[in-house]
Parts: sequence; C-alpha cells; structure tokens
Amino acid sequence: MVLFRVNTKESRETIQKFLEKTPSSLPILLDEKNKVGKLLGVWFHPTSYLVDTKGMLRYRAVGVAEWAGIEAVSIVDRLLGEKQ
Amino acid sequence: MTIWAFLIFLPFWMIQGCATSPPPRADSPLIPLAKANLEAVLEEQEGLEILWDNAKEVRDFYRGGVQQKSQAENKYREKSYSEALKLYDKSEEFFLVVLKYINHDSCEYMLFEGTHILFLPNLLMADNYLKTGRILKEMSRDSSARRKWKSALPYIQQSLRCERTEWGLAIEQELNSLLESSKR
Repeated sequence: MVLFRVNTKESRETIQKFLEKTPSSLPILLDEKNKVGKLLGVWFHPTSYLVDTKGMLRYRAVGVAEWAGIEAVSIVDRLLGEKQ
Repeated sequence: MTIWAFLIFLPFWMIQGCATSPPPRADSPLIPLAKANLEAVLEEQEGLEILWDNAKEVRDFYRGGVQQKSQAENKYREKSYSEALKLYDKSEEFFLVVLKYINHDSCEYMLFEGTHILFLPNLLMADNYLKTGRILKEMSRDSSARRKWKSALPYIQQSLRCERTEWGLAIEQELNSLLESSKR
C-alpha cells in the first residue's frame, strides 16, 4: 500500500513553510493547477481516495476520515486481499 | 372581534400577494455570456465520469448531470437525435436530485477557498428542455415539443431570480418565442 498527500493550488514554498511547522513523513504531490482536483471533481478538503492496483477509484472519503475506524479498516483489508 | 379577524386574515392576504405578483429578478448586474456559457460549464466538470450508482453527494449529481449534458450536446450537434434525447433525460435525472437539495443558481458557487464554479442547475434543466423540445419538433412531435418548452419556463425563471445571466435571458426569450409561434 502506498500513501500520498496531494496538495492543490498552493506553491511549493507555501507547503514547505507548512511542513516546517507540521512535519509529515508522507510524500506530498503538488497539484498547483488543480489538474488532479478537477479530474476527480474534488470540492472539499480534505478528500481521500483509495485506488486499487488496476488504477480504479474504489473509495472516497469527503472530510476528515477515521482511518483506524472499523469501516475504513475493513475496506483497506478487503482491497489488500484482492488478487493483483 | 374586528382586530381578531384582521389578525387571522392578514397572513393569507400576504401569501396571496406573493403568489400573484410577478416573479422577482435578481437585481445584480447582468452576467455576460463571456462568463456564464455552456462551454465554460461543460469544461469545469470534465474529468472522471460520474456513474449514477456511484453518485452520493449533491455535487456528484451536479457533475453527473453536466457530464451527461456534455455527451447529449455532442449527439445533438451530430443530429443523432434519439441518442441525444436519452442523454438529455439522464442529465435531467441528475439535475432533479440536485434541485431537491439546492434550488439556487450561482455564477460564483464556492467549492473551496479560491475555487468557484458556475453552478446553474435550473438554467441547465431549462436548456435541456429547450433542446429536447427542438428535437421533438424536428421529429414532428409538436405537442410534445411544446410541453417540453412549457416545462422549461419555471426553471429559467428560477435561474433568473437567482442570477441575471445573458445566457438565461436568451433561453427565456427563445422559449417565449417558440411557445408563441407554436400556438399558431
């Protein structure tokens, strides 16, 4: 499983300043022109997506997601259990 | 007794007054076609296709409605009328869900800070009905065409109550002229 954070419509400098205050071990992808946001139709931050090994969007969580919750864990487990 | 009677009847009189007065128009300046137009709306909602079964939020239904409309417009231009009619119908199904929850058009609908879109479900419904009416007329189904144009009127009026767009006014003018000419 690979995790990325995608930042839309903000510059590298702004993100770097943010990371100085709030360090994160997750890689952050820059989407300065909101291309990915537009492709996925993001209208709320944060929105999380789970993409399977075939590149299909399988799950979307709008707002802050409880990734340690029963529902999220069962979805992730199910996706991890699927054959590649 | 007279005072009581007055107090009881006043609300009904006020309600009747609202119902019979002409629909108010947005008093904001006219939004030019260069800002609010079909191409701009379609372009904003390009991307991964929203399937009916996957749509969960109002925004998904709006996006789905616009995407179906985009396909319908292509078929309409190609004169593939029966396919266009089906796609316009699908688009309307999406928009009707939107309108259950947000019956308000806006040219500056905020998605998130710094990102606004054209959110015009009423206008797009009216535009769909205008075009499906034109197709039906082309198929010599005059009374069905007329019904479609009549159905478009409340949507375009609601749109113009929220946002006075040059696009909306053009649709309203065309609907009125088509309805007038189809009377003859």
